[in-house]
Amino acid sequence: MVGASGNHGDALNDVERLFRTYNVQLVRYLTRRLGDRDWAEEVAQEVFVRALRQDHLTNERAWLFTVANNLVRDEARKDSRRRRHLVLLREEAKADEESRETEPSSLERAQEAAKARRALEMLGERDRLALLMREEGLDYHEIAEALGLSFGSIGTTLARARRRLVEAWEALQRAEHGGEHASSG
Amino acid sequence: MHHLDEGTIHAWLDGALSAEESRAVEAHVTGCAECAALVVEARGLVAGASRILLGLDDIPAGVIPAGRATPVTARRSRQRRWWTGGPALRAAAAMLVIASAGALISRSGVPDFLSGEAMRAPAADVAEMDSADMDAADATAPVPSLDVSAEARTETDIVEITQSVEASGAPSASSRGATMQAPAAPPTPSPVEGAGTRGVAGAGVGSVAETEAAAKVSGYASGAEPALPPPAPQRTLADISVPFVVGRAAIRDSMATVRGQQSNIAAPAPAMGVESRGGLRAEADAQMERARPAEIVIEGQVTNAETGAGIGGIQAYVQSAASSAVTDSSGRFRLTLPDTLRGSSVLVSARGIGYAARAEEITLHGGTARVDFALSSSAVALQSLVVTGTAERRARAADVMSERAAPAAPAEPGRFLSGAELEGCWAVSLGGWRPSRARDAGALPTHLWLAPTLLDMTAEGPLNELRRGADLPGVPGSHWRIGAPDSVHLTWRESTPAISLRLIHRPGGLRSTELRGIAVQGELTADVVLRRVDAARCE
Repeated sequence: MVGASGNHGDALNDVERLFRTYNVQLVRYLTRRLGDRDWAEEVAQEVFVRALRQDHLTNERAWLFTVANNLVRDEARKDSRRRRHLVLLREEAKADEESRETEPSSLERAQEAAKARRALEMLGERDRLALLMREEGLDYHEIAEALGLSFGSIGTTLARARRRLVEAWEALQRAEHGGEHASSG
Repeated sequence: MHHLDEGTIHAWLDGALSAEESRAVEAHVTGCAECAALVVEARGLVAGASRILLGLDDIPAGVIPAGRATPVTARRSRQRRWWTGGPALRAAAAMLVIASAGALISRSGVPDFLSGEAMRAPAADVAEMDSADMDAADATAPVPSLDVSAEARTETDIVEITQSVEASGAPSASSRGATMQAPAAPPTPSPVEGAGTRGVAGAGVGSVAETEAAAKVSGYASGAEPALPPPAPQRTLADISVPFVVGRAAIRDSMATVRGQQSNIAAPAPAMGVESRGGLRAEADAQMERARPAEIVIEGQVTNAETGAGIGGIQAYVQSAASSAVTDSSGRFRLTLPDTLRGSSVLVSARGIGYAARAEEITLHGGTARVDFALSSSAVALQSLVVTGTAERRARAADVMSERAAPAAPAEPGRFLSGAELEGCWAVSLGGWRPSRARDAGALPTHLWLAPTLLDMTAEGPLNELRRGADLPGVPGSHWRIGAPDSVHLTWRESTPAISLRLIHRPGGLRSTELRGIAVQGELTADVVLRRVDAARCE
């Protein structure tokens, strides 16, 4: 928790602790969500800056993720489509580029990333966020708090998110392989 | 009780149900094949979704085009590619420079979580899940011991199997490491930051020579990623509940092998690239060294407790700092931790296939700390079945089975299992894998019954011939072969749901008295768990 008001030193210490504890999670969450690590770091940093201004956090992790979600939403209003499109373009370009440079390892990864992103984009916003937060270790209570959902609905939300993600991904993969069986003995 | 709905199953697997609810679910799953199937599917979805999302972590921060001045060689190769991505892309990317620049200002002093290994952490996560790291089995990992079928209910023992070096691909991993400099570099962190606010991720560099060493370590990290014990993610730590430790047999799947080879090709070219870039790199490294914030280094050597020889391919890591490295052929490793950890104590761990893991707590005073490990080998270790999960945690699928297993009367842990001790029927489950179909990850465990008599054979054949389980479907396209004197190789396709073998010890029938491991080839990465089962199950 961020310390008592008026004691700036304590607040700093607390934020430092928050940062150490949650920055990796938060940045990975945001990176997965946004597709750009620079952007993710920027948002994460802003989250911690805001934590500094807080007097008291009752559920710090849920709070951090909630603020991150809000920040992204605010910014996303501005230029989300452009950014997302850009990310896809970049991944495709990279894949293209690297296929020419016969670097299938990176190619594979770039394709993998593009495919994962496409699949993720097919989820509803709420499902997507719930899943990404769960992947960062948030429990059902925290996810419920961060998304303003009821605790009881998280299981269903996650079940739906996972199923859709996997199905979307598999569909993309089938399309990619043109129906060929994926295994290669 | 009504049939379970999907949400409840996921909540159960996620450990989100109360003890009472969990018990109810558990009881229901036990008696309801339909719901048991749903659980298996849900596990597949949980693991599959995690795995898919992992693919997102490879995204470089390369939206910003690299400036000419960016002094990082390893990074440059990728950025140049980005640069050549076309004018439209460049222009679009340029728009983002401004937005991102703000993030750079206070970046120095940021914990080096983006270092190569740290960024590998998610990948290592996957290894965790895929290889079903049993000591930290989290809810999303395919839990190897979930067995809602009848076969496993009479299990009495759990046997650790560790994997032979050959199976783990360690030799090729090390040869790969040397040439993997470029791929070893982390997925392109922000180029601008390279201009001086932070050190190059992944390279704990003080000199060119050290750079090479560090790169080699990173090479392991990216090339052999399925085999890495991960800096555990928070969730897995929180959810530790699995009753036994299992020898890791993370086997590089064919994909990983291919990737590794390709990495060789893609590396800045043994033939031409390295020489010409050497000077540049040295210069860049020198710059980076000047610019990087202070960090703490942990160095050490891992040796074989019996022989004193250095052991390569051992994972050394500080879980809490998400820092990990793999020892070189002389057993040396080097970990870098952010200076922010100065004064705190961390647990440095070393673990590797075929050795009992060790950990040591040290207090970081800054500068370079030294920790050495002497590891004892543990080929096939028997362990008693101990359920360590708390009551609440027992909800987990793994525990359903554990509870049913008869009390074990095993040999003492750490001992080799040999000869007649191997006689009988064994269920072999593969703790995790990396299937092409994401959801197949939940189809585990795969059961095998193994007979040590196999070890006396040198042959290859369709796996079907070795099948004994009457209720098991055919496994076309699958093969087994006896590999190195002490390993059985099984190859099968991803769709194989289960395999069973009956292996009976015949006196004198063993070429080797040690079953050191089972190598699984094909598109699998798995931990191997052996459990003794009632002989009747083998018929």
